[in-house]
Amino acid sequence: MNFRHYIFSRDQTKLIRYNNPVIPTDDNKLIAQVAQGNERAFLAIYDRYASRVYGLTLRILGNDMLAEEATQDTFLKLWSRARQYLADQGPLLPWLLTIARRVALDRLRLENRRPTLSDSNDPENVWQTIPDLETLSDESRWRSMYFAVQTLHPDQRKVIDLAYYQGLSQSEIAEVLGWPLGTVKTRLHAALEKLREVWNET
Amino acid sequence: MLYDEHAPFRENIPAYAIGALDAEDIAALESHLKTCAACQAELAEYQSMTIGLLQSIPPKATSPELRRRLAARLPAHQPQTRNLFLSFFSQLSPRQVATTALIVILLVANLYSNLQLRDLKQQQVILAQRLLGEQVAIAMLAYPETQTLTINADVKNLTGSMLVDKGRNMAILFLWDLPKLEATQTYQAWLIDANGKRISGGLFIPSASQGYTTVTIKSPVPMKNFVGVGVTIEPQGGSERPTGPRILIVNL
Repeated sequence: MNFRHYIFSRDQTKLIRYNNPVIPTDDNKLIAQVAQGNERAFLAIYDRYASRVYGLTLRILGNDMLAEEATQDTFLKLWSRARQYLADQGPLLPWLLTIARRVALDRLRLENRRPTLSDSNDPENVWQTIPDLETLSDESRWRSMYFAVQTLHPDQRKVIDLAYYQGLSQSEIAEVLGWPLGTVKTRLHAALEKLREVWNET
Repeated sequence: MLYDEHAPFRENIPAYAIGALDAEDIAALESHLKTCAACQAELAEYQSMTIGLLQSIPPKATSPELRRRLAARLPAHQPQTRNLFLSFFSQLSPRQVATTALIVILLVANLYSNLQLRDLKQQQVILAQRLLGEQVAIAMLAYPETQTLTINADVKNLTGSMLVDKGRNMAILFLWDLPKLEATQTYQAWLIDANGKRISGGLFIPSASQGYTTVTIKSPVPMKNFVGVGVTIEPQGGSERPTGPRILIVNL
């Protein structure tokens, strides 16, 4: 489906409806145009998802300026990697957010001078590890996920935050919180198990 | 109770899925995952859930300035570094590209041919001058009054002779092993009269293609008016009177 727009006629006396042939609404078509260097398509994707990317980078970095820089870097990566996007394997947003998380964590590690960790959520590999992306576009599922995280025990929420949104390993979490490593593992495991159940039920 | 061989690995799968597993445990788990379909399936569930975690973060409005900054970083807004040549070709059809490429090839070939032709013409002029000198020399050898004089060289290895008919207005110098000059220099011949006055007999440079250099010296008056012929090194374009070192002299 194309956007419908109204423009003035040449003599400025009437409005003419036309179909914009350049900017489609479908993400896959947009990203295909971005891969060909179409800046309008690129900015259309930005307008659509910038708030999601910025929300995530701000959550990770906790600083407006750093989060904006990470958001900018994320979209520049999208611009340069658009050809690598495999449209038939799933929606664009998870891919974009995976890039954003990696960019923000790299920035966080740089700011904190922490070593880079191995992470199975590398955006280069993400498509090979996610089994069913067709269902991920359902907005109600991630809203349920949000509330599921909020209802976790505070200690469990803390380890989720440090592990997933701060990029710390279990040993590092134990060191930061002063908890025994076994306790960290138990709480992280329990928290993720609950979230998986919610995710599978919704 | 049966021992569950997956247990040590399965308990690490959630942490691995969100990137929190310690480095020392990763290799063992990844090795196990390669051969265990059950654990692969469990990992896939957790990874699917992590995408839910990513998407669970509420959106946050960005500043308009960020969009402007981002747009400014795109190639079209950068200082123009894109190859205009490639941009031009990218707008053409394959047939137009082929035609344009053919035209470019022809233009380059034409330019190359012109340069070759110019070099050939320059060589032709040099050869014609040399041939004229040789012909004059042969003609002079046939003159009954022609004398062959030996040169007195001031530089090492330089040898040669001069053919001169004192009743005529020219002489021919044959010089072997004439030293090469810098690009800013030239040899200049001088006709020396009885009072020591010198007038220019012409400019020349060493022959690059053969061992000897033939020089035709022209005089406004018969050679009998002079007592000698000298050659000096002068700046390119020559001098009104000798300024550089002398390399030879011939006594008439």
